[in-house]
Amino acid sequence: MNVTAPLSEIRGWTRRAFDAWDQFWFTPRSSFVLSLLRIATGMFLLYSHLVLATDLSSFLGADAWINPEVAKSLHDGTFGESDWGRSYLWSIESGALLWIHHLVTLAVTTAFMIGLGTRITAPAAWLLQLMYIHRLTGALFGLDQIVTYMVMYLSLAPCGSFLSVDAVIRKRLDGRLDSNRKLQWLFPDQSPSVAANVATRLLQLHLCVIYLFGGLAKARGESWWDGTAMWYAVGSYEYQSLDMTWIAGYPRVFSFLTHVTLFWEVSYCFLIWPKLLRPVMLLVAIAVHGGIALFLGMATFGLAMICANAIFIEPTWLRRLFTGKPLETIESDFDDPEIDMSELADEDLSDSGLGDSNLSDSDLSDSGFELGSASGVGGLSPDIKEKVLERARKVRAAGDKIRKRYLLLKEREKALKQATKELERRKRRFARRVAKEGDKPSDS
Amino acid sequence: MSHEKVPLRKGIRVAISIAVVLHLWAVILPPLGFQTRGPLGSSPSIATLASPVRGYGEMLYLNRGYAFFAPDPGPSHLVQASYIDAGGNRVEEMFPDRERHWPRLLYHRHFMLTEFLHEIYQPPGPPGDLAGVDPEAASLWAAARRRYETVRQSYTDHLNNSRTGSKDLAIRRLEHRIPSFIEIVAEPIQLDDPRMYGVLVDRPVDFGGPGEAQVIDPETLPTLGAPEVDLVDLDAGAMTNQSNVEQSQVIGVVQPLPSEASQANEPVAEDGNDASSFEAVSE
Repeated sequence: MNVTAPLSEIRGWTRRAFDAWDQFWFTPRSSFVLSLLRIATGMFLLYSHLVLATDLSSFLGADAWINPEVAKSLHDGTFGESDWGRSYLWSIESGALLWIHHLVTLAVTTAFMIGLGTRITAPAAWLLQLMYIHRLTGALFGLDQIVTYMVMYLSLAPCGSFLSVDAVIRKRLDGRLDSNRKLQWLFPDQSPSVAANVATRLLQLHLCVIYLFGGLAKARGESWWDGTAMWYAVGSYEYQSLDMTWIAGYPRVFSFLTHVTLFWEVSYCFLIWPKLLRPVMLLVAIAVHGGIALFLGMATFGLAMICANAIFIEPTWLRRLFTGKPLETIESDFDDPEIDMSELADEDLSDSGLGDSNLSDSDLSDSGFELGSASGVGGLSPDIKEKVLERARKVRAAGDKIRKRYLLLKEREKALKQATKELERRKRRFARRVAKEGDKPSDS
Repeated sequence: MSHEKVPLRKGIRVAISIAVVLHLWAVILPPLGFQTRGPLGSSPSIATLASPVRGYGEMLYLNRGYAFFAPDPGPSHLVQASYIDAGGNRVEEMFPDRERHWPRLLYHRHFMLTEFLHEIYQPPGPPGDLAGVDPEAASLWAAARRRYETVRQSYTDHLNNSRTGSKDLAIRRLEHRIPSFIEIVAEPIQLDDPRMYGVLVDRPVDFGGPGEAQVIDPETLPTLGAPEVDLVDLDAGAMTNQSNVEQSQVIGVVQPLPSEASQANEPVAEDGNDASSFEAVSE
């Protein structure tokens, strides 16, 4: 029996699976959507903290509904198993200190929202949010969950590269950024990145988990099957923000809405991925969460969920929607030549025989040359050594830029392909219409 | 399949992949554990799978079940407080209160607090013979009860401290039932009709006889058209503002009208008791 054929098939399948995994997680992605989500998440966080500020002592003070000691005891194992939820806010009882802390939180959240020092303020806003979460046990609901997850994933990505103060600063710092990697990291450029893709994928999958288990939990209830759940949701006086009791007279309507909600929620994690069905799933998401926002008194939660769903929208499409730029110029920001090749033509180095423009990173590595260290240029004079190192840095920076440019071009190519397809489709439609018009008998 | 070269070295990709898998594990397992929990506890296999990432999930607040309005949208649970203010008037307040708690997010936080008190409610106990039959269950029961009493006491302390000069502050839990659409169509009533509110009594689980467990439903609600009275059992610990008071049943008459929710200042009867609700007689 020939066993090599099945083995090679398995090997091929495995390789394809790994390739697919790499493509899914490691294809660079624009952080435009994440930048928009940063603004939205920042707004929700800021609003939540501002609302807390209206009654800070009742929720965080020494005499809060759940005082700090009780909040701690709900996590530290006093009443059974302990968990890892921890908050230094359990130790803050002074009203003044609490206010100072809250003001700092408001400042950090505002900075995160406007995209100021996002590399720092995003993780800081997340950490602060976690501290509040573990302090506010008992007073939390869906809004806190989704906002915490969004800020968590945004902290992983360069979410301050668009629509941010960081982007403005980056433009102003233009010249100085090339030679300073720290500044480059601090003020990320707008090129697609793997970090943006990983953050996007994680939030997408997390949303799928939320909807899947939300749907499965509903599927255990009777009212989600007999169609009455929607009535009980809108019939809850404590939740309702608009009186919808009139719907009691239309059982077909509310039972239909109940079934749509259940099936949509359970199937979301499967049907959101095919591009054909994605708009449908997103429209239902807007309807369901819009309904929660309008009728069930949870405007913040409903809007936050709608915003979270935007993570499934293609960055190029969303950017066109927000900036109004036609597709052809969508990446025009990146057309400015950032790579100044003249910088690489260092005459001093040419004179010394080190100005070889074909010098590559691998050449440097092969020769034992380490970027950023002088170990590989020990035999040269300090002056030349410094120039070589500077040159090497420039080469590396130019390489990075070329790589980024390549990725941008790939993205543009993709967008152009889509535009071409759309153009073809319109042309065909137009041709059909012309043909149809031609077939019509003329009255005149 | 066309394979574009990904821009990261293999080692970094592997490291990120491991981190991603572990994180997703911590994202998926908590709701799965929530769904696979039954009367006997968690599913052993899921509990085992979840244990390595449990702490991570708890720390990052991933330990959620996502059961929004599930399994069925049900009644709301509220807290009603009663106290004598500095002027000697009995004051009753309902939590949450749409009028006072604004903006809506603040109202919702109060609502979640009252729902939380209901969620962690554990009847007094454990029953005498449970410790002999199942000591672990008895110990869990006692711990859950202690937790409920501690949180309830914290609520009571908060209200006492934030209402200057108040005395005899007591809180009780109410359930606000949602009428069925058939009831609404048959007899159009307001959702906040007093008949929809019931007091949740706090009393021990009662055993009918040897080997026959009979549980008194602590959540009996008046049916439509029933007289607007109910038996009430105030939370004794909260009423006396002490955390470890022996549970004593108190019976009174209550009309948990929403109109009373917002600071209804009513004169106290000559005998010191409110003429309507929170009249308490120790057994």
